[in-house]
Amino acid sequence: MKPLKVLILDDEPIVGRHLRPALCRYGFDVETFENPDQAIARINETEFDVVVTDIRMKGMDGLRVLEMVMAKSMRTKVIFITGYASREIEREALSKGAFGFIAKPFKPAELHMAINQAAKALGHPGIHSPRNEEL
Amino acid sequence: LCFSVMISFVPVDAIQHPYMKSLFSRFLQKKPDGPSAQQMRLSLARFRHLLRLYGRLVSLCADAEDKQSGLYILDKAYILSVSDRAFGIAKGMVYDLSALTGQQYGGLYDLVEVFERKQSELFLQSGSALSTAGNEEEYEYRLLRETREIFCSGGNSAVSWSVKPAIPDLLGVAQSIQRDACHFFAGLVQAMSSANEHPNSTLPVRTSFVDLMIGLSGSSRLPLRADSNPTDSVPTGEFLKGFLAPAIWDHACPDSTDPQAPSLVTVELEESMLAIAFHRHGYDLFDVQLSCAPEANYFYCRFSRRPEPSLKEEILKRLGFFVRRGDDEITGWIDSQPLVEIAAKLKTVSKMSAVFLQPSSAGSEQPESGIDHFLRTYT
Repeated sequence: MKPLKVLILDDEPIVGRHLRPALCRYGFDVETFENPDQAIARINETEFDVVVTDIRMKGMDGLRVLEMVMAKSMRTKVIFITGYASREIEREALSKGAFGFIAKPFKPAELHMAINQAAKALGHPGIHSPRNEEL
Repeated sequence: LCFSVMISFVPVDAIQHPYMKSLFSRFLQKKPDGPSAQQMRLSLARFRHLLRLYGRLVSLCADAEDKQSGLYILDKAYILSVSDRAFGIAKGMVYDLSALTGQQYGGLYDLVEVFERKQSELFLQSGSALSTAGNEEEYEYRLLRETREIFCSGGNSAVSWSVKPAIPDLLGVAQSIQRDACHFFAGLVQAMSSANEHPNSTLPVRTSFVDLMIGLSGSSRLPLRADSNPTDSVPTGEFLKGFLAPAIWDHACPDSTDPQAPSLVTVELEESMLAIAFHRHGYDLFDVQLSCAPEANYFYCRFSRRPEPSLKEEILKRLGFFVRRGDDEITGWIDSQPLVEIAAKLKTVSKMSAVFLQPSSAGSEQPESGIDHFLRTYT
């Protein structure tokens, strides 16, 4: 089965820097972006299974990213990560079609779990063990 | 509305702290007749609010320490939000203490702002300007570490500021504020109870009862027993079950005329309770909210340092409290737990207070064996 394609968008470099290796260990095909425009350009080029995006970013907010992802592909699941979590923002994000919502700070395992849930919704079995623990 | 106060008698020399004495004497000079029921209600609300803020700050600092472990994905926005919340809480505590004591603490705003300015400067620094604990430490983790030093670990960056050495960080300021508030409130209770002495005939704990809704004159004697909760309050009931447990008091001599005898005050309001146990070493204080909504529940406790400070500290830690040890006190905080869990801890911690009031507790026990012995015996 093809690896799950995951795009991570956060304007703070530390997020992609930590998430990319953490998710690659599970065999996901991960691309990271700090610039929303570049991320949207890439989303328009190829279909991702899961988009993980911050909500508050310079240039474009995560809700706008969600709209653009859904305009490109209704199949793609969008998971928000934010340091400004509130019930109102979570409700708004979910009502607009977000698949999941994770408050920062979080452990990579929490995001891995959310991605696996998204995978399940897409009919993909997900990946439950890191690569070096398989066999 | 159930809003009542059970008041007990306080030994004249129960609270030795010089600061409290000075506050108390100032208070008495201004109000020779003691506080009115209305003043007491307002002070109680302000005092309990201050304690909740203190607990939130302790939790916030503990959470920041956890997030610094490197196991979390975090960013500068998180550190900014922690910082904003911490300074907001600290300013709220200064406001509460000033309101409680007649604006005697307004100068503390300046002290909090010293830390706030230091924090703002930290955020403006680039990654290379921050000190490093190791070559591998990333900018955000360094920023969080230095932020925590300003908040709660007394690191070099905070100590270098011209503040009192005894208050090396923001949490130290908060700890001093809550200590002074506790002393002030305990003094208020002393002033209120001084005209309502009723020795208890069954236990070496002196008690009386005042209903704030009808004024302070409605006092009456209550023969307190662990199995006879004089109120409908759930937290008070749980507290008394622990504090007055027969296994603790059965060997005590019921001489409540002894000026050194411990005494107990409980103040209750619907789902919450505040209790102060006065004793020969000072006082222990408990503030509890017990409701069906776990996120609304909390438990603050403050113990006098003597006797057995290490044992008290370790027992509280074992019970899952965030614990701070000060010069003359040990404080603990837990929140957002289900009613049954906080109720069980309330009962255990109130037993702990009563156990350390017994003359036999003066001996020094090894903390490790003491914790196990206590938990085996009283939980």
